[in-house]
Amino acid sequence: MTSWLEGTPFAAIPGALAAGLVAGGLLPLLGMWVVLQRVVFLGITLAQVAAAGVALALVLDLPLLPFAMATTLLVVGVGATRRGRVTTLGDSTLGATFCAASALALLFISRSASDLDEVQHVLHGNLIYALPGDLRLMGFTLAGGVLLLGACFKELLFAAFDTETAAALGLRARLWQLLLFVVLAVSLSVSMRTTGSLLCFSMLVLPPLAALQLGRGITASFLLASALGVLGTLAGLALAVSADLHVESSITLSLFVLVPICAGWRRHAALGLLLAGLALALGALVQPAALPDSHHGHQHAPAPADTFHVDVALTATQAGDGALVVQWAATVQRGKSAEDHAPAALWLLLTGDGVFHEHLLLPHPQDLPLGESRHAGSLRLVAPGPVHRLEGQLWSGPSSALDAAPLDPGLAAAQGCDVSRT
Amino acid sequence: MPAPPPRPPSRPAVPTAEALLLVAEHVAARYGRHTALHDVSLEIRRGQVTTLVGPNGSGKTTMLRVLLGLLRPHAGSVRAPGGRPRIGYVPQADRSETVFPVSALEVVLMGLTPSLGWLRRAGRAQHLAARDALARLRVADLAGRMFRDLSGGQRQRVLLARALVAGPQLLVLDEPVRGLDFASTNQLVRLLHDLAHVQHLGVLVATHSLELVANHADVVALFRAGRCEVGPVAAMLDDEHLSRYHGMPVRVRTVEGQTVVLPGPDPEPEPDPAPEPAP
Repeated sequence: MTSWLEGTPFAAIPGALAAGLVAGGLLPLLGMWVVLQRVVFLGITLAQVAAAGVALALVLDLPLLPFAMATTLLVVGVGATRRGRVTTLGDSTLGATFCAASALALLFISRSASDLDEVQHVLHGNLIYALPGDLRLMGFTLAGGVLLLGACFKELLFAAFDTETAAALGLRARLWQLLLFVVLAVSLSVSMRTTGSLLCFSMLVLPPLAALQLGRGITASFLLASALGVLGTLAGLALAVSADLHVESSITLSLFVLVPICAGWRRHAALGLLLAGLALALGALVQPAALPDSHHGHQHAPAPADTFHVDVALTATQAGDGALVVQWAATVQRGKSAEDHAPAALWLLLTGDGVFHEHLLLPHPQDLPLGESRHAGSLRLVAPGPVHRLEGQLWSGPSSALDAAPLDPGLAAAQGCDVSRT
Repeated sequence: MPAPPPRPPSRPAVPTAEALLLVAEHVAARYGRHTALHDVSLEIRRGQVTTLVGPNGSGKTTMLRVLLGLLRPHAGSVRAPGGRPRIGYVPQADRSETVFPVSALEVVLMGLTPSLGWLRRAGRAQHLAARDALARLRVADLAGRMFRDLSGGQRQRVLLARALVAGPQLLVLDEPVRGLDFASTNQLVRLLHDLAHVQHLGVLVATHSLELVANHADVVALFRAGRCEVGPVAAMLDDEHLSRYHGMPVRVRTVEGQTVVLPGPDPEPEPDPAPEPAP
């Protein structure tokens, strides 16, 4: 599957590429309606409500996706129906709902018994971890939504362009709009799990905004929005891989950059090209952060006896269904005093053959006893394909490996391992 | 006060029962607790230009929404004796969308959406009808232009073409001459006149333009504080009615065959110059 990607920046992340292309190609087609109807705030509010639904499901230990979808649909149903008549959600109502959903999501997370790592993945999504099942579900849901709205294209267009006239001519304009909101609610609930709320909202809004700068016709604008979504996703993924950046943020920035480029192009093609050149030059200037070489951790000089030191050994087996079970054993050496620079939290970053996974290894190393202690555990993840070797890196950080810093390989090392089959 | 000016002979009405398109009887309408219309009765007929006139907030737009079926009356009813007529509606042009990347032709095609049915796309016949509607309004050359790039007058004509493309029996216009220049206004009111009196459409117009009402309408409904007085223009558009409805002195005069409406009382006649003393 990934042979044709060899030699490209995407070879290591085929799953993220597939998820990005599906979301980047299809979400803008739904987002065109959001932008044209001027209900952009509805998009971000529904994404946030879905996040709150997911968080509540984590607290109550309920199935995540149906619960998120039900919560989002409930908000659309209650908000869109006022005094018995279907109406458009007002901006102020959406603002209040957004605030409440954001606060509830945080409160539910704080009450969740789940691993913080799991909560981060489920709530904020991560293209890198896109599982084949989630990807299929997102693809079918988005494609279904796009096809359904495409079948009602002329009705939706008239209702969006001139609601009052459409209603005066006998079209059930508000009901067509409600159909749009329901499709949006379902699509956002499903997509958010894979893409996260930020990327989901960005893909919904930014490519249509860029396309509307250039579009000379309604059909052409829809197709252009989809093409720009794919282009921005590819550019963002390439930037993330080459400069070792956060994937979702890189794609969001790439999509954002398309808006001024298209606006410049609308004024003059040369201005658009100039802005595109500037964006490419800036992208090329971004260098990857210097990463420690953890592959040969035991070749470093021994750590001083009064500093924190940790060694991690890995073993991994992969089943036929792609499930990868990784067992780890950590030997921790605290220094002679409590001021031995032990990190606030210790994260293990696993990479190799399409795998990119972070795992909270030790939440509070500073609380470990002075001297040597041993710890072990296992984790299970689903790889996009066969994995032959896993490499590990150790990072310190307060909340997530993605905003943490790599540990000095002289002080912390994880041995890579070959993956055996079962 | 001088007598009201003589009006040209009234155009023959269409008195048959089939000519009755909509009948509003004792209609009351509310927005929340605010009652916007009180006991309004009005008939809309084919072959007539009916106008709704009144100051801002007097209830004419509410009445328009009730007649279009966009607002359910709180009391009273709106009947269509011959079945619900095909309606063409022209909203205020300055409220039209400017974000959509749609051409003028695509906007006109929207007028055929309700008659096409779900899943059916506009074909060759619909495109021809849309181009024909644009040609009738002498804007065939705008078909491929983006609607958002058109001037206010051009947009108004495109919206009128959209209203006419499905062959309406009743044409409803909200402030059709607002923002139009002199020439565009003149062309539009002549077109409305022809649609009503040559093609026998019912034409219903909500407007602030008393000149349009005075020179081209057959029936006027004067709105004030949610109440309405209806009658032929000849009987209703005089100094007394207009002064009462606008709460200020208003004069109706004829200048070279055209009726004009002037604010304020008649100016005092200038005193005769004093006779020159004899040498």
